[in-house]
Amino acid sequence: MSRSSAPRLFALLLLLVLPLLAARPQRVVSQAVGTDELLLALADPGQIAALSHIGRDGRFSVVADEAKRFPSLKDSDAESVLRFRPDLVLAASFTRPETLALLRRAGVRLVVLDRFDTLEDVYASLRILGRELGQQARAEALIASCRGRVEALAARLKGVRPVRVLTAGAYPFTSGAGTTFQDFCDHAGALNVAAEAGLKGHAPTPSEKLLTWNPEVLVVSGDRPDGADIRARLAEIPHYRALAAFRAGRFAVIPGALMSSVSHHRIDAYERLARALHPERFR
Amino acid sequence: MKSRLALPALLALLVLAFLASLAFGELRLSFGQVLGALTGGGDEIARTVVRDFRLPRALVGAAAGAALGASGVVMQAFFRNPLASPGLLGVSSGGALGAVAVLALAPATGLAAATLWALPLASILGAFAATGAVLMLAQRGAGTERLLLSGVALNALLGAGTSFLLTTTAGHFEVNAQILFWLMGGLESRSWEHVWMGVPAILGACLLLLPLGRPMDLLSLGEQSAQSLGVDVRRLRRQLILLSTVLTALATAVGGIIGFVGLVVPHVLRLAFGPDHRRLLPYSMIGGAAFLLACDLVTRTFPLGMRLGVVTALIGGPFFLWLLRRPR
Repeated sequence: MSRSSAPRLFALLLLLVLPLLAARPQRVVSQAVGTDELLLALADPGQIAALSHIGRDGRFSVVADEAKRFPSLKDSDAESVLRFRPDLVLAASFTRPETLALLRRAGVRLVVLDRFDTLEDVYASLRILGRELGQQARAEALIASCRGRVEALAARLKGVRPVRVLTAGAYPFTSGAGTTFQDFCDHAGALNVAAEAGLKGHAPTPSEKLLTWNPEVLVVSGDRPDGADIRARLAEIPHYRALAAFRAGRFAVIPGALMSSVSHHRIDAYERLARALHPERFR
Repeated sequence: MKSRLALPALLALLVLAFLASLAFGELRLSFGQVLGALTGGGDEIARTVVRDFRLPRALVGAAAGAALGASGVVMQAFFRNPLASPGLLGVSSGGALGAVAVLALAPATGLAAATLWALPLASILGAFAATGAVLMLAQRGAGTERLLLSGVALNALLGAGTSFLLTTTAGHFEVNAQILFWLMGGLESRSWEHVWMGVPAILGACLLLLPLGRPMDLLSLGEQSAQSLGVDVRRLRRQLILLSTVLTALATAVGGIIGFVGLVVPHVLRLAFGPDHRRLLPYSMIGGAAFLLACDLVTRTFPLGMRLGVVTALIGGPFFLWLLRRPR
């Protein structure tokens, strides 16, 4: 290669690559906690213009600390989003429909992720996002590492007897089939007694029938690792008090933000739950 | 209906509603199982369901219903207005705000977790603060009209406070769900603690109220007439406000805001047995208890999640409209 042709080649390469770089969105705004978690995993920091307003709240967000490094929306409404002049907005199907309509009308590129129930759903979302951000390779690498963790966990739990569990909250709601919690159970060697009894989605805990379900362990979301706070509150509810698992103090505590996480971070919840239910497999 | 039959008939209704509350629920239990559970026999699940779930719930429901029924009679007599109800002076909204404040601040204070009594106590405190505020606001002038208007304004203010707290807890699903309990009333998860904190005091306030039936009759002739017939009107009004506040506050503390019982029950009984307060008071206590138990039975036997306040309003709402449309 001659000395004079090098800058020319560089210029040519630049001309070829520039449109690709420009096509990558550079001002992405994420409107929901779930999309914050996915976005932070895939985007270059420079691509992120703002994250959701509760993304930096540790009670709801697994990535709260990381999110604090970025600007955050003041609210979840369209105006707060548009203030950042985004070239891509990420929202979730549970975002208020009025907000979505306003964003669509404003003409910004809007990606609405709508599947959150299983890990396969998360992988699908990661792929969509990878494409949108121009970060396909990163998305595939993350998916591969997630699959690796899930397989390793499955190998550890091979042949265990599923432990009968119930999610218990201070207000009597529980999670049945088709919920994130069911997904946790499917991966952590647990049997969700609410789903077994035919409960679908999130539903009020039946107080009397609960006694016949016979859960061995109560899975609670709590901000204290020993779950003392949540235990005190459950003690106020007669139908929990009557359960053998409650009386014997058999609890598995999952941090609240993880319990409600709809991103790949849920694998942490699988691992924690599995560790709590089958400690002998983790020695 | 002749009033001689009224008391036995109402008592029979109450007993029936109470027994039905023990007999019916999510789990199908035979009559024998229920009876066995009450007398200490039977299997453990039936015993727990009947003695620890259904019995306290029925007792709390009956007491709250009686409190609201009696309080409704008092309010209607006090204001000489058929549309008055226990929540009128902001007592229930104050009670709800008290409980909701504890809930909303719970993540910061840990208060709700500290004691089962925190919520009901905050509710009672809120209810009394609301009544105190209304009385202070209305003291100069002291007319019932002023009291009424102060109550309406305070109700709006307290409602706004509750709504504000509700918005600050948005995203905290569990706290929101608990706030709904206070706003729409309910008897689920009531335990023996709720029985002890509510039932004896409600019973006591009801007993104190009973002898005031006669002076209430005189008050319904007008304040001056009552005064001339020897009633200490100022004292009577103080007693009535205090007792109805206690009753409404306690009912709210153990069951959240339950609308329409205090409005509907006294009216039905007045239509059936006449306006004599000496009878209307006990009848409304018993009738209120039976009505609330029946409504709670509906929430329990219908799909899960039906709220007590919704049921009482669904029955009370149309009745209220009918009352408004009825030619006087």
